[in-house]
Amino acid sequence: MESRVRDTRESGALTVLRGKVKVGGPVGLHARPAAELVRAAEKFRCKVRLAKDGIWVNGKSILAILSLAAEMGSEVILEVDGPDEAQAFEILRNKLEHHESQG
Amino acid sequence: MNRKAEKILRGIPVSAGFARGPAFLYRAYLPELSERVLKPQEVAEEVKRFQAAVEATERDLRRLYLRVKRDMGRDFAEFIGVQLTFLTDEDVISHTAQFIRERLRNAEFAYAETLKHLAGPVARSASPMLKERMLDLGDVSSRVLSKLLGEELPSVHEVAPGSVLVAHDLPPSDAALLDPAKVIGIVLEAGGKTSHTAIMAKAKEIPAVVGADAVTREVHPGQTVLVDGYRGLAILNPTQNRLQAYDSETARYLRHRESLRVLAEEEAVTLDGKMIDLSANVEFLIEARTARENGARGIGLFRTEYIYLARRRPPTCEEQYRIYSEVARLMKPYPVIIRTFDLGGDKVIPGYSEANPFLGWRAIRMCFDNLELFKNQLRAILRASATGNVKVMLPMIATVEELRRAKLLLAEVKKELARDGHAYDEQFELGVMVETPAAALLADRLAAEVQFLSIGSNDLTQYTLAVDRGNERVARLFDHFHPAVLQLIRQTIEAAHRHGIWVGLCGEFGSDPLGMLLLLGLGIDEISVIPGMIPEAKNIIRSIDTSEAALVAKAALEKSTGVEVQRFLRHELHRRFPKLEKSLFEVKGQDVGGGK
Repeated sequence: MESRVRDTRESGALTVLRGKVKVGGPVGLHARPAAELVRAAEKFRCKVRLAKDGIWVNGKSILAILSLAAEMGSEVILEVDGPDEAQAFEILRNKLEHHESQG
Repeated sequence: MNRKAEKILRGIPVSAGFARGPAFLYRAYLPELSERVLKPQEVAEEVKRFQAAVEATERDLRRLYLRVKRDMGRDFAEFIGVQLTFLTDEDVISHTAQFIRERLRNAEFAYAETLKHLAGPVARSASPMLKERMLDLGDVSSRVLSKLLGEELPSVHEVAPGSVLVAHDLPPSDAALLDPAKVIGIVLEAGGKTSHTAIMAKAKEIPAVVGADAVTREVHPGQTVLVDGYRGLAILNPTQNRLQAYDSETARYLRHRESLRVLAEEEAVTLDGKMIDLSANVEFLIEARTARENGARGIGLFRTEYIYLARRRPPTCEEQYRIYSEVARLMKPYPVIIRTFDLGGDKVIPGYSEANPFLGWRAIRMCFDNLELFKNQLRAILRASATGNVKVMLPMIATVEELRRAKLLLAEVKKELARDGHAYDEQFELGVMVETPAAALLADRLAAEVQFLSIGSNDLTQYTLAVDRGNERVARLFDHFHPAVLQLIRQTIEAAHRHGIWVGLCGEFGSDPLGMLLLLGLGIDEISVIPGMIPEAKNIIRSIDTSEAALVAKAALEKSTGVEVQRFLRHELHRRFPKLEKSLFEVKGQDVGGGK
């Protein structure tokens, strides 16, 4: 699913890790799941961004995530950029897809 | 105005009992924000001041998180957890700092403007659930602003032990977090008898009065307030005489309660030997514990709405399983009747509203439109049936089709559980709540397809009489003793017995001594009351002879008005069961002067 994307936005790294993710869970990215996602994202040093319908936001900001209004089943793009991006991508994608099971 | 003079305010009693303590005035915090232009050399200091305010707020919220987690459990604590993520939001913090630096404005102004800007898309979103989150954000920003302005912030969670909470209104989420050791009484200006806050106060046995006009303007913080949750009075600055009168009344009441405590181990059996399953209506595990200690022989109604509302998202199957199985294990071998989600009506789904909520998208109707949500709950309940004596109860049934549809879903869930290797009790009982006139009239057909019926007398009364109890203009028309309601109750009980199944009642009717007399006379098998009422109810059951009660019930059902029914029942109770005189614990009319 994910791909390395050539990106000249950032200085240093030449690529970012990016992939489409389907939002799971019964209510979409509402307050609790969004809070859990932010807490998980904050543990990583890499930058985390999310996009829906062409709008990119900071994945470490709950307000920004909520502004996407990502309902269950909607598709978002997850992008991570930084030293620990591979691990971050796995964990955050998992959160997005299955946040229900995190309890 | 004389601050020392006694002042009596009248409201609606929603949770019985007396309480006396210093007033804790809870107000929504609406700070005045001024815009100030900074000199360039002030900028660094201002950014630091902002960061310090955020850090101080974070410390407060973390403390609060731990306290709520310890006292109420993880689920309730997560309310605060979400607020913490709002507080430490990376964008909010960096944008505010940038605003201070680039536009040379004071921190309060910069913070408020930044929030307005960043929250804009969320506040404008079509999702009511998201709009609701703005309340959390408002809470957090109040905290930060109060730090910046050096002002004291009112919080229901930071009350000194033994206080009486006085407020215009209290959101149910705050009410859920109230600690009965700290808030010993509640007086609100807003609110009706069936509001969730009222129910919560009653569940926590905190004496409460709502609808007390202008109380937040009349009371001074710290002033002594006496809450009379029987008569619906809030007495500010009570006189010595008043306090003495209440003290002796309280002592009398406590003696009476104490004399009933000893009944906890006795059976709820009538004079002529009919065993009644006396059980409790509960919403939280802590109430189930009280019920068990008070001698309840089961949970007749386990409400599950709060499991949903506390999260503001559907709870997972695992989360529900944990809660249900905990209650099931606690009550073992006695039954726990779990009512599936009764959302809608007065238990509002955040952000959703409709013209006639009680006639609308409520309970089973909503569940059928959210099949995954419903099946998930059934799954959790069935799994919990492996850990104790668990029964399933469907609310708001109005047609036989609804029952059949739920049974098909249950069959599917069973198959899935078996497939996934989860254990459940194959013999679990299914019942419906009889709370619509339609269900009462069709009790015969329903009884043919279930293992029990449970009469939800509050809703049955409201739907039969077309009276919304929360509406003050018509609330006085709400009458459990209305002959039409009684006929539906009798019909339901008879239908159940014709089909050889048991029938119970959960609702306030079952907590009323006169109601109990009538129900025992009509042959009820189970009565479910609030946990605090168990000893009292047991005492009443043990003092009544069902064949005599049957005569009383028969005659009562021939009366033409609710008032006639009550007058007759009162008379008969005194005449036939004089021992129960004391149980009609009515607070003798103290002269409170003035008044309506």
